[in-house]
Amino acid sequence: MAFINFARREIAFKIVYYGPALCGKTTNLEQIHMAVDPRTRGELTMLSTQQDRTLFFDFLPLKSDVIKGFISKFQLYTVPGQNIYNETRKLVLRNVDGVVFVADSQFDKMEENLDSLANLESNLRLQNDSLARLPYLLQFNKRDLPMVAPVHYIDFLLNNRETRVPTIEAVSTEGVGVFETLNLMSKMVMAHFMKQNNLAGSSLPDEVCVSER
Amino acid sequence: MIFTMTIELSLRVERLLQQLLDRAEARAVYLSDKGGNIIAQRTMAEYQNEENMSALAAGSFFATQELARLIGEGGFHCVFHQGGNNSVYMQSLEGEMLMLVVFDKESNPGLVRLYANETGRSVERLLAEEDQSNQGLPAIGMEFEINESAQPFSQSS
Ligand SMILES: Nc1nc2c(ncn2[C@@H]2O[C@H](COP(=O)(O)OP(=O)(O)OP(=O)(O)O)[C@@H](O)[C@H]2O)c(=O)[nH]1
Ligand SMILES: [Mg+2]
Repeated sequence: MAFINFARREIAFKIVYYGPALCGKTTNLEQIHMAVDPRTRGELTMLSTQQDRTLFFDFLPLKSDVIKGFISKFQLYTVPGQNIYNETRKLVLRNVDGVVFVADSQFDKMEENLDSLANLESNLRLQNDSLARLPYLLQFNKRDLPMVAPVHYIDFLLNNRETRVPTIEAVSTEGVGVFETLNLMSKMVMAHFMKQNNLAGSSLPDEVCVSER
Repeated sequence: MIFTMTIELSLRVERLLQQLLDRAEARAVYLSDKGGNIIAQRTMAEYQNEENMSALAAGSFFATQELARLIGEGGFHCVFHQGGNNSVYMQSLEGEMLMLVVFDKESNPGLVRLYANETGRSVERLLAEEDQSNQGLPAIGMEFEINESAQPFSQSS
């Protein structure tokens, strides 16, 4: 659920990085935190176990000036990929505006990718949402590893819904595809927000408020 | 779905939060939604990472709500975390809002709780009124101009 504050001229969007255990969700946020213009980022909060496995979530707040006259805030979250943490995944998904699904490209991870995507769908359903209505994209991560499945095969497995969504190949440990993913997701979320609320083109005074889905 | 905070509503909510801040002699008061967005705030002290604070507060509070459900309780209305010098008090409001009060040892936790309760109810009433007066408003647009030339985020060189 996007949030507009006219008093502070702010718009906030929530983006969640989802995917199976160890697919590289946390690595995406770490890379963004490391490489993004420091003026546009806040602190990276990581709630992990001693072994660097995400326990609750990672959180990175970003600011952008893409929407003129407003501060656009993009709140990036990751979920914990391990099966046992499904309750916390549900919590992190609340009010989500867009999902980056990070798939592990290794051949032997295909089943985990599929399970995680199914888990995402069922968790969305619990909050009366669905992949059909939510902007999301697929990141095929770990393309540097030797035993990876061909892109068209992963695409066939994960991207066979009515609407095909964009896919991005990534080596997130090296930052490859990380910003492409972030920027595309941000634009998809904004476009969706405009479309849902018929925002572009007409005007309304600041004091007037809108609208529920 | 989009939640909008008008200038008018923002002023009214912040007036209530300011009252709480003064009466409880707290350091900061935040109102957030269930997604962890700060909706309104009044602060005495400067905190660097308010968004992280709010995300953590929402996460931990709603995690305890789930815990409550699992032990057969409807939910916990409020949660206290008491530290040596600084403490936080969190309280859920109607509409899955969360009020976070940060205070130090100068404040009395009992009073914080009492005043927070009163303020919570006033904020609930205010948001509920707003909700009703909003119903059926067509989603006619505002002028949002997207800066097409630039990517939302760029890497520092
Ligand atoms: N070779 C290679 N390793 C990667 C890549 N991306 C992530 N990794 C490694 O995979 C491991 C897991 O990465 P994380 O980012 O912690 O994975 P996660 O998805 O956050 O895992 P959970 O928090 O348990 O859900 C780490 O050792 C990373 O360095 C990649 O593109 N290539
Ligand atoms: Mg992780």
